[in-house]
Amino acid sequence: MKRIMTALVIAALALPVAVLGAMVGDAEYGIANARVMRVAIRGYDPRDMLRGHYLNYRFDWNADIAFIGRTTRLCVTDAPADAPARVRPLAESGDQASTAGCAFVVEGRGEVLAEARRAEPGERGPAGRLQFRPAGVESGRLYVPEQHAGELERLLLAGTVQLTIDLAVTRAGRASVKAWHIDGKTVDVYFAK
Amino acid sequence: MFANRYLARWQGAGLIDAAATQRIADWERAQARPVWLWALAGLGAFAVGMGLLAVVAANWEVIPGWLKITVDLALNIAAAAALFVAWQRGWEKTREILAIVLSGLVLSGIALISQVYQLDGPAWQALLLWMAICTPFLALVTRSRVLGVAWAAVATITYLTAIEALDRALGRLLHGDAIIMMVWVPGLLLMVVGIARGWLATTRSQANAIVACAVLALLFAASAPQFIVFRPREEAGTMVAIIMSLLVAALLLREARRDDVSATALMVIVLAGLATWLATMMIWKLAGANGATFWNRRSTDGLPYLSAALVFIAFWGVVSWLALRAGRRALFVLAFAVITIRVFVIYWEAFGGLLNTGLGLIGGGLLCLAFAALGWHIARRAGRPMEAAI
Repeated sequence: MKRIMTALVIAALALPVAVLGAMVGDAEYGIANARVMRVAIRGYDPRDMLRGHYLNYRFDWNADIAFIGRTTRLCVTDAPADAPARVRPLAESGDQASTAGCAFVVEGRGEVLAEARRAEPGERGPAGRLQFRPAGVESGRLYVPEQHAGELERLLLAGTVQLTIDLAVTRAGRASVKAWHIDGKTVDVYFAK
Repeated sequence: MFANRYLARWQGAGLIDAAATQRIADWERAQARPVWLWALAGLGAFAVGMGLLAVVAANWEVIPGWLKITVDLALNIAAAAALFVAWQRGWEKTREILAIVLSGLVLSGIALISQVYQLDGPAWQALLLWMAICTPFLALVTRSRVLGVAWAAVATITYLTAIEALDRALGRLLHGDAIIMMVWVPGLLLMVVGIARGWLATTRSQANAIVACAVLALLFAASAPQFIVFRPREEAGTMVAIIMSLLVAALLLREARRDDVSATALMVIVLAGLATWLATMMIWKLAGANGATFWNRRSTDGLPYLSAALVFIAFWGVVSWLALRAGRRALFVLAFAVITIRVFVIYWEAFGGLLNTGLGLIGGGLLCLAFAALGWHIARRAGRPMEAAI
């Protein structure tokens, strides 16, 4: 009985470590087997005690628009490593639903508006007509270092920097954030200057 | 402290002699638990956990992500190993404190991995994962009341953060409102956890703490229909809540037959709480009351609100009676205060004008006096001097 109890306690104590390890393994596997696309973003920086500083962002898609209405998929036609990817929203049905010519497809939820959306408070300039959040990054939050959060917020409000995210997209079309850049540089390199 | 006060009183009245006083005082001293030391130790362990979270939240980019995760996993392994040693050697205090530290480390690990890999998702998912992986070792290793209360508090916080998602899911599943399920049933589930935890003699003290939390949750939940004018279109949620309540009552009946003295009182709270929900919902339905909450009610007829208030007062009257029987002074005072406040609120919400309000206040005062007379009568018949009982 005591031996069984000891085994149970060891298993229960190993469980948290095993799950944390599995989370790391799953994230690494997802990134290693994903295709990467760069997308421009815009946002502002509130504070969160639990998860640290994060940036609330919206995507600024480099999109070819061919219809107006809801969309659940984006066709990525070109994804260069050092520039924003070119995308085309796919319609639910009809000619605009075809994935011909797509390097890969991103699943998610969004809409193609008839005209550009007005800027939110804290944003500079109108956003594009394509409003789309890929599955896996729906919250639109990016964790940023506390040390540079204030400066980053000031730069964003001044509109003097361009932020981009490298999205790792799995074969199922789910996205996760692989890296993010300020004017094409990683955050430590940018602020080191 | 309380024992000393009563001992001096009883010795002064000649009920016990000096030797008996000394024996009782010695026994009480031996049984005493250093609550403030436990509180301080718990606070320290909690502060360590929060500190680790804050360090993670700082997202210090000088340290690479892989190194931060490696250090965090190593700390988790070290804490788990230390906890295992403390459990094997029976170091009670060290074991309980290490369990709090390990729980904090696990939460900080989830936050760190989410941050390094920019993982997306609502907070409740992270909290639910945390509970799912910490509950097994907490259940197997810990025994203290402090950790029982802490677990119940974390379960409540996790539930509250997930309530919107749960509302949507239940709405789809039951094709209608499910407020009774979302407010009443979680307290029942917490009570079942507490009862099941008490089946082992070694964890009975912790189980009692969880059951106490469940009772508080049920008292709050039974009061909720006063604040939410709830008229469901479909009754599926109500049926599920009734079935769950009856199952828990049956479980408590079984416990009462196994000589659990508090089980009968718990069963009364469960059944009275369910009756309060059903009676209030029926009143709202029959009266065609509108307005979603207590604050924006619209009605020219005060009768449904008066009826609902009387149901509420009857429920808290049952609670105060149970508290009196069990000698739970704090609960009795709480129940009495709740009834008093509710009596006065009736006149604010159900009547209007100075004459009516004045008459209402006189009626309310007479009602309180009648309650007091009834209470004294019950206490006398029960053969319990009230001052001693509470």
